[in-house]
Amino acid sequence: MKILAVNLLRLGDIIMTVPALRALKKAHPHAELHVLINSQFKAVKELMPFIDQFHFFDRNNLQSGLGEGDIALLHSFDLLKETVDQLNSKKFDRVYNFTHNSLSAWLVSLIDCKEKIGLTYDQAAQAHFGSNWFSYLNHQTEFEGKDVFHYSDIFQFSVTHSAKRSSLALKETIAGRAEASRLRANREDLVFIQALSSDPKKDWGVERWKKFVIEFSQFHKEATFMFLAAPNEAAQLTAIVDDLCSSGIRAEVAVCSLEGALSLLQEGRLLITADTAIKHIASATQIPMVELCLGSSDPYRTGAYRDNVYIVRSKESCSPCVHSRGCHREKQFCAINTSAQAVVSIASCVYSGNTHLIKVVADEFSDQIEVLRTELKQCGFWTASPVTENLSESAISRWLERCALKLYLNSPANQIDRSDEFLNEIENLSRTLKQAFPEIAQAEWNHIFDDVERRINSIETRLTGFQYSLRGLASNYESPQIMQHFIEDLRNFRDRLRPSGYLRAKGEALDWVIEDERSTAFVRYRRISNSLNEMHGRTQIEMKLVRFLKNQMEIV
Amino acid sequence: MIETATAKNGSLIYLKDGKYLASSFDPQKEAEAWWKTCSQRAKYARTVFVLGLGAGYHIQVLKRELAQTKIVVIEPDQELVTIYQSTNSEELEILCEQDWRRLFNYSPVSSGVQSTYAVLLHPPSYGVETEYFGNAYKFLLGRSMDGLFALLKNRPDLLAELDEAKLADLARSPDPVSIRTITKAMKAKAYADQDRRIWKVLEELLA
Repeated sequence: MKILAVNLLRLGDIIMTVPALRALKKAHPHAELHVLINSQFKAVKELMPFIDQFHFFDRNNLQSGLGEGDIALLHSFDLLKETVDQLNSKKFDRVYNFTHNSLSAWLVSLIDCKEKIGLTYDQAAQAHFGSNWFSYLNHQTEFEGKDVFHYSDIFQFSVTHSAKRSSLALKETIAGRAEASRLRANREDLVFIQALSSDPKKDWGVERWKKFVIEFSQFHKEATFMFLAAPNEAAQLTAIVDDLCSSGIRAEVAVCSLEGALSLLQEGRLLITADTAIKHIASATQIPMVELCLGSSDPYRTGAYRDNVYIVRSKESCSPCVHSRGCHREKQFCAINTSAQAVVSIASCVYSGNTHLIKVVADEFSDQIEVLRTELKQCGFWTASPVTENLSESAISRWLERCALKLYLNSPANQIDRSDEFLNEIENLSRTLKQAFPEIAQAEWNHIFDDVERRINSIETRLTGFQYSLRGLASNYESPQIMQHFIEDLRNFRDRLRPSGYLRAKGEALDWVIEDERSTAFVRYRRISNSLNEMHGRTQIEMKLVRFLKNQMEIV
Repeated sequence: MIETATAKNGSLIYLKDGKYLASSFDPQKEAEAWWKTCSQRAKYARTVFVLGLGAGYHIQVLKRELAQTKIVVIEPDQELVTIYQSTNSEELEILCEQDWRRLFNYSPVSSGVQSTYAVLLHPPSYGVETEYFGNAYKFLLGRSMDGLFALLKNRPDLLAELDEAKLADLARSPDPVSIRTITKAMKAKAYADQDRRIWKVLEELLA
């Protein structure tokens, strides 16, 4: 068997697919696993020796051919055709498209393979996803929020339903170790800083980094600061480092390869980084880490895929902003209002191992930032939860919703009743809840679940009612009055859900179909129908989850 | 009229109508520098068309660097070709044609443009025959309307994808020929054909 995985995004995105690629290898140990990535990131190949063969998409060369007058008009066409022919000569049995964009979808459409998972187009330019998880990925780009799965989880779930998660593990190389050893020069107490990213919106600003280092070094005089840099970033950082050194602080710029960076990070005391490829590489190590989440960085979709990373997130209402567009405000307030003092306080706790104090710091600076802690949950997915979170309706809701959604997407036919997957999920969820809220007594859990069950029951009854009404709407959706009446009912339903912390998320899921006034009557009907059916399916799963969970909690 | 001379470093060079066709100091060094300016374009090509024979030093660099690539030299001056061949014994495909519009009539060109190719202009030759090489360059690249039509005639698979009426309209447009000229002239049809989907990928790269 030959499998091709396509990822035509940036370095960090490629690394985010590592758990899925490892899961693929685990699920098909005798299969040949090929990966197609942009040629500019071919250095990552050395960190992923478990891949049987890499192929490279020469985006820069293709784009040059399209735009430059000195290159043959058909050069890009011919070059791309050669790439496609070369891929097709491998005769792949299955293709995964981990790049959710039109370019990759058209490219995957060119690969002769019967089984395609992930976005692709057919001969009528219709999109196909090949998996509920990619359909979900497509849908989740349409709404914001924190109740979403991490991209690494989505990719991994699209590959396997196994409860055993694969890790984001990268392989160190001899060359990388030698490079790291040279840069480290036997020093301890190294604090690594990845100050610059490829997207200026995600940068905190070099002056703030400078202030950070000065303040941090007052508390930790033994620390040496290493600014990690790509060769083209070195000059910009050298100026700050020179300033810091002249104040007596041990600081330097470390220009290193990806291999070198991976090995270097293995033995640091702390990494502070913006949303960068280095963050994803560091997720393959155990270095204590603080992530600054600014601009378009979305902590819930692309946060460091590892346990115990602290994410400092701006509380600006526009955060996270739209990717690939400049900041629309007069100043980049998400960076300005994340003070060096706040970041120093949190980084200091992580550096010293006093992570129990982070909750106090987060409370102190709660007017400007939110602090999240990442966890790879026993229930099989990654989460980033506020460090200040206590047991609440919405906390319970989030766990149940996630598990129900995962089961729903894995088992579209709703045949999950007593499947092993369902029972595993119950067991894992009950352990997760007990771990997250150890102080809650069994009687209290019973009370909580009774309450949740009652609420879900009422929703399910209402959704069943909507299912009947939908049948009526099926033959009348073109009537504006009937459609309006139906929407009005939906709106009332949503408004009744809002006051409840537990049910609010369900109400929000209806927002986009209620407010959609641009689509044609048919499209609108189809969307309403799909949303309600999905909601009904998920609610039924949640109901089963809660009922089983009550019993399970007594056993655990 | 072609004359021979000796460069300062002792290499044989040629002059055409009194103008040097290679550096009179160090033609080998000049050839190496030229290669650096065009290596990116040439290294992805299966065929390289070199416009201008000059004194041949740049061709020697190409042959060294692109051992697997087919190299075709285009030179309108028969006298230069004859003199060059009388002093160089190496095998070299030289196409001698005074009318650049007829270049696609030769099989090294018509077969070379069936897959990736690059067109490299030799600056000293261009300095001597500016009009010929300037026109031939755009023509072979398909970056002039004449060149595009000649190219498409040699690529019937692609021509079948295009709407001739739309193409004729575009031919009258003052806009320079670019990839958009082709995508604008595409027939409105489904994406069953592989080539049509390759164009879709390229359009996405342009977006």
